[in-house]
Amino acid sequence: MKLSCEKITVDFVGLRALDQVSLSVKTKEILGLIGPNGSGKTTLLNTIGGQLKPTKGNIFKDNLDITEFTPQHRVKNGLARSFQIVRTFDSLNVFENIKSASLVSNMNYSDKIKFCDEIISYLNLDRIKHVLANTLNYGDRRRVEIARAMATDPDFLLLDEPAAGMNDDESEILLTMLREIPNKFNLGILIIDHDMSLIMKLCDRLHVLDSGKTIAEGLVDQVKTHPDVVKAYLGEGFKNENA
Amino acid sequence: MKIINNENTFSILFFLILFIIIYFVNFFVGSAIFERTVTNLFIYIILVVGLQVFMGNSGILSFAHIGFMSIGAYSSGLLSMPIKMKGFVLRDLYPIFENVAFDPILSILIGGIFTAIIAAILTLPLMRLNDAAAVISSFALLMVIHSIVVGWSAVTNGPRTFFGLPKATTLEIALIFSFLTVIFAFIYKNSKFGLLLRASRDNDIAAESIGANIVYLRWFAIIASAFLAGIAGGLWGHFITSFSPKSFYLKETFLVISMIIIGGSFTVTGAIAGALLVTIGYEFLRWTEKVIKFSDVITFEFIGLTEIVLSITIIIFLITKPKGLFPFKEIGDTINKIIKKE
Repeated sequence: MKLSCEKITVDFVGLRALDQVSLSVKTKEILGLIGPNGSGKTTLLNTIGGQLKPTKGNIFKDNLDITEFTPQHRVKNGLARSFQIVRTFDSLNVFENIKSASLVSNMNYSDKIKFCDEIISYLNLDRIKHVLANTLNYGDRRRVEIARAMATDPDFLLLDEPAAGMNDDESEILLTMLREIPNKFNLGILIIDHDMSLIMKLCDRLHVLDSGKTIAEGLVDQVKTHPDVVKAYLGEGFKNENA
Repeated sequence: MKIINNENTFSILFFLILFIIIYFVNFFVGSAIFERTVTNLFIYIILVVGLQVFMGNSGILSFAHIGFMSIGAYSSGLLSMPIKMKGFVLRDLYPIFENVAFDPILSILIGGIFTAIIAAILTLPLMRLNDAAAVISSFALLMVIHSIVVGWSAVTNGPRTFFGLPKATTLEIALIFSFLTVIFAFIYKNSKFGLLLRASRDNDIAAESIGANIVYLRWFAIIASAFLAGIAGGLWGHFITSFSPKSFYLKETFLVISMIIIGGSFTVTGAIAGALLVTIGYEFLRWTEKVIKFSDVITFEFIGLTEIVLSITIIIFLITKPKGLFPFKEIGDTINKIIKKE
């Protein structure tokens, strides 16, 4: 399966947040979306998730045009996401958080519960299964949100800075978990994160945005040394100073 | 969908036992005034638990509930009133109702369904609103319903008293309806619809991202909630047998809201506890007012103590316990924990 954006343009008042961005993710693949602050990463994720309508351009899942779909309609078509600002259901416990998301899938009830338990143990949430979400620490809440997105049984998982606010150990653990998800759960991941070492280790391919435009895309090693990427991330003078 | 789990069963059993205890206490007290208070309490439990179904699960404060109660009371009264009384009370009644006199319980049920239908029509567009806009529009809805009840004298006798209803609501009937309401509220809360609605209460954007259609979830909840309010209205009408539009306005709205705030709107346990505590407090304060009045301690007229104390209680609760006495956990969760530990 393939999730693709074609020439997505998003205009806010007086600002072009995204300018003709195209990308695609396949099943069992992890695509990293990177770029400096304000480059339009979250805007693109919101457009794919349905929280934002693009000014121009289309989003396809295989051959199905989902550009006009509402968020709840997209979930039913296999798109799930986590948010940059954590949005757990705070008065529900961890299990209820995850179970509520599983309700949308086509499984029968006992399979749903089994699937939720599988995700819970995979993401190491067993210990806090019956704890209210508002009492959790930040890293746990992040993982609950990922688990919740996974519980919808998606074909594609959109993760917006899942490691933000985690310490090095926590993000290392998260990295190993995320690495195995595409094969284990048969899905594709589109991930945004600022932690470059995590992104570089995790992703199969990278897509780099700067000021709403694509400046590079391709395999991790190619993108890492791409001159425009180095310029956008490290500033123009970086190479000269080191030369 | 598995909705009967341990915690739910414990909660429902707990309230069954509590209701039976209240029933027997009344039996042994044997006073008419006490029975009247207890019957009223059970009707209020239907009303507050009904409100909890919408407000608790969706997180939206609704002022329209007493309006729905009035629709239930008037419509069931219109159906059950004896034919002789109709010519006497409602002089301009439409001919189709003139020769109708159903069984009171049947009328109450029809009144509930009618209320639910009216709620379904009126509230669908309002379910898109959030926060303050939702609360204000529900308040406007209460005013609209009140104005219609006052103005439509052909079926409501206008601002004058609507009387002549058969007295059909006994303590037992109120208790049974009340218990059924409690069962429904627990089942609904833990159903697919209840869980998704509670998720949307906590975070609407995230709820949409897991496939929840918030407008319809809220709509379903308010229809169920209005049905229960309509039933409560019908039961109350056939208990008190004469009432006027004044009986369903700000004072009663305030009373119901205070019950749910004090108890905690997120839990059914909270709604019941609120109804129980406020009823006890209310009766005690009214008694105090009476004692003060007849003891000639003060010379001027002394009224409004009940409202003042209730208001202060709400303020204290909003400051110290904004989610009420039972913020998250149902009584069954606590019982389940105690049993597991032993």
